[in-house]
Amino acid sequence: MRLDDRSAGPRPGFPRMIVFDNVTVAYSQERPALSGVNLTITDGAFTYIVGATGAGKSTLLRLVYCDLAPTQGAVIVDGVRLDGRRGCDVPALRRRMGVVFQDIGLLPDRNVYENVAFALRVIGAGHRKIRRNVPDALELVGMVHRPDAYPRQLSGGEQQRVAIARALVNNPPLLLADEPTGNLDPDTSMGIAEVLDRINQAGTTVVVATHDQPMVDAMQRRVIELSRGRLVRDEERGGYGASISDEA
Amino acid sequence: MFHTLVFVLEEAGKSIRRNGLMSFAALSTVTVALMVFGGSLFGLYRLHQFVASQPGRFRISVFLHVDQSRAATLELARRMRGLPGVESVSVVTKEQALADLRRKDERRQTNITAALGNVNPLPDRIDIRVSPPERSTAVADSLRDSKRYPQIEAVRDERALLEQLLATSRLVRNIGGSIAALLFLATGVVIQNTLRLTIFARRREIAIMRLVGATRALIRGPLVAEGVFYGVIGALLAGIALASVLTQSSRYLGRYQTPLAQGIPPGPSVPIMMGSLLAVGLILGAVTSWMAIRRFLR
Ligand SMILES: Nc1ncnc2c1ncn2[C@@H]1O[C@H](COP(=O)(O)OP(=O)(O)O)[C@@H](O)[C@H]1O
Ligand SMILES: [Mg+2]
Repeated sequence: MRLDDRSAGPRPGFPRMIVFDNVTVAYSQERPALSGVNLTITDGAFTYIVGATGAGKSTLLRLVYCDLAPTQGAVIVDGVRLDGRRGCDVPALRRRMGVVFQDIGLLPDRNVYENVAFALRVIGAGHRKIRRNVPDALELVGMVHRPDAYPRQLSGGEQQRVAIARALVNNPPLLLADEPTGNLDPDTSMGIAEVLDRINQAGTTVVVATHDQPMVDAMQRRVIELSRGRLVRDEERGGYGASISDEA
Repeated sequence: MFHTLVFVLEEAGKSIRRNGLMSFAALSTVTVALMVFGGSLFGLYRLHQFVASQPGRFRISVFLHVDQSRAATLELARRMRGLPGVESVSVVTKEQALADLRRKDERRQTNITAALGNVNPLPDRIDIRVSPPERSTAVADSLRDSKRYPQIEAVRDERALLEQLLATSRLVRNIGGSIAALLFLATGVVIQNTLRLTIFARRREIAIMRLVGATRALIRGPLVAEGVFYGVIGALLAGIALASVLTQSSRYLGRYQTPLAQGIPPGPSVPIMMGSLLAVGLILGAVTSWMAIRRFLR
């Protein structure tokens, strides 16, 4: 099974987008950043990964976009087993997913349209595809009215919407977000949450690692909680959880 | 493929413009370095041409004993043709030598031959040309071995002049070669440093390209294109400057053709010089940017 064999949209024959099989990640000799994690995320699902700072949320996502290899166990994404940097075809994998971070990473000397188009140009897309996909992606995140604005002319929430549009412009079946609302005020965060929800409604599998309690509580989606690298809770429709504190 | 090429060139252009002052510094350094590089290489090449044209000028004259028979002279000439380094051998019989002397007498209005009466005191002579000229001294020395060549009375070579010429050419070759090599390295270092700064300036772009699935080659593409730009445009500017300097100076020097400079083949043409300089710039730019990428891009 190769990544590029997959056509867009959920595939009945292979419903599991992400599988973690007894995954452990040890950066050093100390306590592993993840230990013995098992989980399955199905095609088209919306999942929050929650937990205190240092619980292992970012590490879990890095495994999925193959920025990191598991020390033990297996990570399978879209039917492909990822064996770390050497073993996985990073370009092919990342064309099948979008990734969004807390530090947004727009290019300051390019406007909104060019920032989103950049992701397509990098993978060799032509003008026609760019002219078709970029407005669609901007429409989806509610930024279609400001294609000529430069990042410094936008609020943090608007910049994050553009970053999400850039992640989605190639219509990947999977969107990963690591603390997408980390720097935003609560109202703006809810706006981002709604955008992510809309993207999921359109069929994209969404995984969000977050600290943002109001957002998680409001959306009532599947919640996976990590604590000190262990999976301690997995609820189909849950909230942020009372026990999480950064002092843990 | 076409879109990718456009993207790579556009990104390289953006980066060159964004760091305008630095790009200008890099380009002018590369231009000056390639000018000096090309200039010394040109000088070296001309010197090589000059030296290579000298075997015809330097020859060894071998004078035989006066009492040698003609047969012995011809036999000796035949043996000399087989010596290593000997390019050509010509026999000047005593009769030809006397005729030459008569012509000289007429030209200079002297009376040496008349004073001789009917006696020809001149010996047979064998003129030898040696190639490469460096071997000339060794050949002359071997002919001076009177045990091996009892027929030979004297050997004359223009040893002092030749050695001076060869020493000068070695010196110029070594100094010029070192300068050229140093400049080549320095140019490479300049391009590398510029690209290191470019990689730093492009770190956001590079991170995003990685994230959205750019291939390694595409991430490197704009950087290599920028390095090649400095190399090729620097070579072009250096070539134009060099060509105009050389055509001007040869026009000027042409009025003072020294006898020594006659018979040297013409220098390389401007298109050939330009082409070689461009090739050097291209290789330099591509290789150094590739090295910079390997060093600074993980
Ligand atoms: N590159 C790294 N090298 C060493 N330790 C790391 C590295 N990244 C994360 N860690 C450690 O791994 C643990 C989990 O980190 P992380 O996955 O970033 O947690 P979270 O995203 O939930 O805050 C923490 O203890 C952190 O200090
Ligand atoms: Mg984190």
